Amino acid sequence: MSKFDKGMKWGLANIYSSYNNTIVHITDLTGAETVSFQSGGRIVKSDREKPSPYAAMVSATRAAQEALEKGISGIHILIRAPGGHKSKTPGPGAQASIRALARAGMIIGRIEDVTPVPHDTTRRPGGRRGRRV
Amino acid sequence: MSEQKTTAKLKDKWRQKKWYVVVAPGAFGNVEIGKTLSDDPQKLVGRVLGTTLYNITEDFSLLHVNLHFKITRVEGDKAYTIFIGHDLARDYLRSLVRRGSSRIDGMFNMTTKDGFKVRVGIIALSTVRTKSSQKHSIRRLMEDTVNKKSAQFLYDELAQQLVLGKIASEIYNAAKSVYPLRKIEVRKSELVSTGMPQSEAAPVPATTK
Repeated sequence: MSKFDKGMKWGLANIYSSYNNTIVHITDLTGAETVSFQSGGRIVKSDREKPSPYAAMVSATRAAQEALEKGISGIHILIRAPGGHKSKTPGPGAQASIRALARAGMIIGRIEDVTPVPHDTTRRPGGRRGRRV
Repeated sequence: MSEQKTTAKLKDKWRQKKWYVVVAPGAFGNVEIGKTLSDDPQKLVGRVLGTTLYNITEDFSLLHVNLHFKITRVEGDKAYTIFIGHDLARDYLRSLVRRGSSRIDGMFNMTTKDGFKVRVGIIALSTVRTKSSQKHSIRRLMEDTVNKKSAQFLYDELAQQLVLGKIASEIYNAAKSVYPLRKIEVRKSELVSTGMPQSEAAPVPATTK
């Protein structure tokens, strides 16, 4: 990487963004060591606010601050939706969290969508006539 | 407060951990591909680290190739790796697949001269929709090329050939007489089993405690 200077430490930001929550998990490059972890439920009180862009923004900022404190200054972002037979598009918190990471002073390497997409699928729950509430 | 207590404790743990430099195998020029940390060097063995080919070659057009390396051995503050496969970024693959043109996939097993087993996925994209007989013959050409190539190379050489598109271009030259093709890529490769016992390529013990 052209910006890759030797002293700099890179990490991964694993962002899981569903319609129910946003989880920001910053790890080292192997993904084996956690640097910082934040989720929507740590920010807001009510469950229905967990996936909100605000909760995502605050959790990303906090995670980024902790990572910067620990000496990680650049991150590659791996973003994922629930995938499988569930939603394959990231939820409302995804964009907000990426922007918050950049604004917190992190250097962003590459951004990739790593949603697990099956080649075939098990059937989505709900049956033929859909979920009847 | 309980929260403060836990963060203080975590930070202490973090400070005990040491940073190790992860080095790419010889086939990829022994360059530094990243850093990882651990309190015990033995815990590093078996970790998988990804990087793009752009990081190694500095060629900006290769940003979509993701390489995977597995740590096999640690010496001092250096962790040595083997190449365990590659794949293409999802957005890149999706940009290749288009309506009105055919996508021809093939999965093949290769065995190298030194006994490494590698599984490769090759994708060919035509300019216009192809008939299935043409697809079949293109797929056969892929298989022929792969079989011919597999016994010629050592694993390190093969890894380079796969990743840098040498094998893909060979197939392209063979298959373009069958039907006009837009692109051939080695979409994915994965190491199935390692070959001759080498110090570098010794099978990784799965004991992680």
